[in-house]
Amino acid sequence: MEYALSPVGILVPQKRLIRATSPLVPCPPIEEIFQDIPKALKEYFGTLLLKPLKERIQVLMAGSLAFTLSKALQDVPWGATAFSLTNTTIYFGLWAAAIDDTLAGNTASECAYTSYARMGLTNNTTIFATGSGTTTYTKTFPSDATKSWATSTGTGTNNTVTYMGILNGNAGTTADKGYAWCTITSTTINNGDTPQLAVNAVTVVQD
Amino acid sequence: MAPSGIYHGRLATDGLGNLIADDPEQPETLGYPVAFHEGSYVFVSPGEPSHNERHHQNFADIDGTRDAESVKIAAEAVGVDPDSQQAQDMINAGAGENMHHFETQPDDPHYDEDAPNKTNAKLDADALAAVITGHTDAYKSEGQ
Repeated sequence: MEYALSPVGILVPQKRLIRATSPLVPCPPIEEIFQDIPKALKEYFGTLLLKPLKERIQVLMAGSLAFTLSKALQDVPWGATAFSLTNTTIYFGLWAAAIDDTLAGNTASECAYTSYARMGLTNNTTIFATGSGTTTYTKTFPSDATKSWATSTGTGTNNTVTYMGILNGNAGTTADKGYAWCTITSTTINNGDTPQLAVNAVTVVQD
Repeated sequence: MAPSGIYHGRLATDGLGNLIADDPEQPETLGYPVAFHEGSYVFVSPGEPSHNERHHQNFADIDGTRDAESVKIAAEAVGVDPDSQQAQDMINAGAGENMHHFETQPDDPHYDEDAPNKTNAKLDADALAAVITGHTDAYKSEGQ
């Protein structure tokens, strides 16, 4: 602690302005809750803290929120802008090539086995149930039941899928804005196969 | 009155096994079930089998990719020895398997060695993108 002389001659602790030295990252004093969490979780937090910021925000999926959703989320509290990506249906698509935060409805190499179509899920709390956690908030979905894409009726193209993208529309164009994406186990969809997403197959974590 | 005959336009799946008409420019058919039938997509009448009921043979699970680190954390969290066979069997990424989990691979159509994330996701022009998948035009000459 450094001290300074006050105008009336008293030695007082020197006050310094708090200056930002890093991007604003709201964070609880994690050491205060360490006694209440298991060892594995402590190690997990340790791993997280050593990762770059972006990976800390979306780390349990090998994926991320898309740029458009990240922007829309920031605009809600900062400026009280209405959420701009609302939709009554959220669409899940499959891709045969890498997708990233730039995801949009016209991102190339989307799956195209015969009869493929994006899976539209009604955007409600039955399918997207309230998440859990405080310091780390986790949403898993689909919450109610396994969901199926259309059964393949032919090989078509791009039928070995490695990525899943989530969007707010099904026009197949730039009008569809990306919500999020993730890697999936490489899966070949053959004639007669019905791709399906198990209950709570998707986990999205945000700290 | 429910539509009948052949449908032409954008398609969607409702998650329950139904392929549905999903073209905003055709509000009179929006949301009605269709099914692939002899090279075309036809409206399904009430009581008729859905698209998936007609064509389903096997399920293909769309599964996440799990590396050794995430499996170790998950195993310890639920009290399972992370070195146990049960835990090891959960790993499906690493050692040459599902390497796209870690980084975009050179054989990927969107691979870009110079990009920070090794990815340069290509975009199709809207007019093309709207019909090359998720649209009845995409599958004109294929299928059973």
